[in-house]
Amino acid sequence: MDFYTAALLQGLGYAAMGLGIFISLKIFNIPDITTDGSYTLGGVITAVGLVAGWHPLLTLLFVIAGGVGAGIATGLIHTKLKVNSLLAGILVMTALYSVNLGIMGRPNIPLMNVNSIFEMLPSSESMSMELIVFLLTVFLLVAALYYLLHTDFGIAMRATGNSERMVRAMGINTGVMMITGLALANGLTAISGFLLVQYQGFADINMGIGIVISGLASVMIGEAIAKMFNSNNILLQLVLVVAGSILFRLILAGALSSGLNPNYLKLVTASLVLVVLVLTKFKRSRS
Amino acid sequence: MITIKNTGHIFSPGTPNATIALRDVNLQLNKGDFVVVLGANGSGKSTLLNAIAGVVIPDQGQVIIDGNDVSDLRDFERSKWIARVFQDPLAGTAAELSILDNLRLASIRTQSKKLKFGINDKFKNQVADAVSVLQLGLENKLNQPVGTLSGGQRQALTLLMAVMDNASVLLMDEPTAALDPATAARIMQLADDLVKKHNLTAMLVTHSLKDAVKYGNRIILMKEGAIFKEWDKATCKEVTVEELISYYE
Repeated sequence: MDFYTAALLQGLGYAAMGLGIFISLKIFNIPDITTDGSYTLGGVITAVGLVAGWHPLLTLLFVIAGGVGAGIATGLIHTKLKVNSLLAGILVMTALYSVNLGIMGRPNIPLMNVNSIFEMLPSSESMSMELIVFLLTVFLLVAALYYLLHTDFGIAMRATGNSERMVRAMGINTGVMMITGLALANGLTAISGFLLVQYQGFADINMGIGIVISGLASVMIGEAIAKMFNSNNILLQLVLVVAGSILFRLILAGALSSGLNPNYLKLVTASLVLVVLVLTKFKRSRS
Repeated sequence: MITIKNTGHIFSPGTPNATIALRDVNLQLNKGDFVVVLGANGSGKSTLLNAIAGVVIPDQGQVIIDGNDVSDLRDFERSKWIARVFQDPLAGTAAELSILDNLRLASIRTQSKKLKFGINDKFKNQVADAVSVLQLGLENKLNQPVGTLSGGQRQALTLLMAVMDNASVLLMDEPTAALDPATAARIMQLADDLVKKHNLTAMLVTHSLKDAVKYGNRIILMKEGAIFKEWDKATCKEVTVEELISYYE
């Protein structure tokens, strides 16, 4: 498959995680490192479920439940036990490593002769089944989030990251709201694990290490473009997160195809995120 | 109506930093009362306000609002009765949300926030009418993020938001301390208008003795966590700024 088509597919596959990070980072101001663990958890459940012969959609339900559970764990540690959100995420991510290993029983599961999500639609010669499934998923997720964020509940959620005092004065339990947000974010992240494991054909215990940076990069690239439009339209922001995810993968593919030593990939990734951060004067202060 | 019974609170009890913030405070606030709470820094006036709001849950005593014992309810559970305005003029609104979104939340302050769309044309017209009263031209900027407005404009919005959904009590903690004198005067006038129009029970914590004399129909002076002196509806009319100042010395 063409190098850049692969990057496009990866970008779409990781878009769900980008949308999750959009919730945790942009709405709640939490760089949620649980992501590394919940992404792997999503992938691990996918591999175990599909190998056991579960229906892909049933597997997806378990994947989402797993991600949501991880998010709730981080949320509870942060809001009830008053642990710093970054630290809460690190704790859950670390714990999930063992959980994931326990679920898999071994560090790596290849998906051979399984009934994956890509076999659910009648196959076509002209179109890549992966592309159709990924596009459909991203479309559904963006539509669902757009709906959610415009409901009364969604407005309350968006306000929570802005002014906690205001939100509490409006009768909203900010703790519950934060737990819900982290659950949603990690549920979305797990969906990326679900998609990517089936796309790459295996689950690996180390597949999530440092993956949070891809999500952060998608959101920041999206934000940088949103600034050019000078718009606070939510649909645009959601679409730009997806665009950011694709763009990020294309940049990495470009770097690799121009002869970058793959060993330096994470270094390049971190530098790239730093550059975007500085360029957009990424300010998290808000009141 | 709010009744505060035998309320006492100690910060950091059992440590060398233990501070008695409230000592056996008894107070009854009636509908239409505009109570101004005065006192030196650390006299317990903000703690009293926070004890009513539920931000501080006092160690002892009871808070009863409209016949409901709310002593064990937290701040967000008391929003059913209480609307609040903060000292920080930016704290009462959500910066990244539009004026419309902010007012939507305010209009369902006492209700649960459901998974349904609440902003329709009818609501937009209602909000446009409501904000036009402020005469700040905000009715044409309903989709603009609140963060683009000035502190004075945001404090005015916060006040307006306080009365959008069945308010019965309005708590204001130094709402004009961060504003310029002209804006501060306008905000206080707006607060007074809204309190009268909606027949609210209002409590204002302030250091402005001029505002106390001008707007209060009851004045409470706190010292060391207790009510030191009170001016009721009759005596409040007679009291002067000079007399009030003498209690700070």
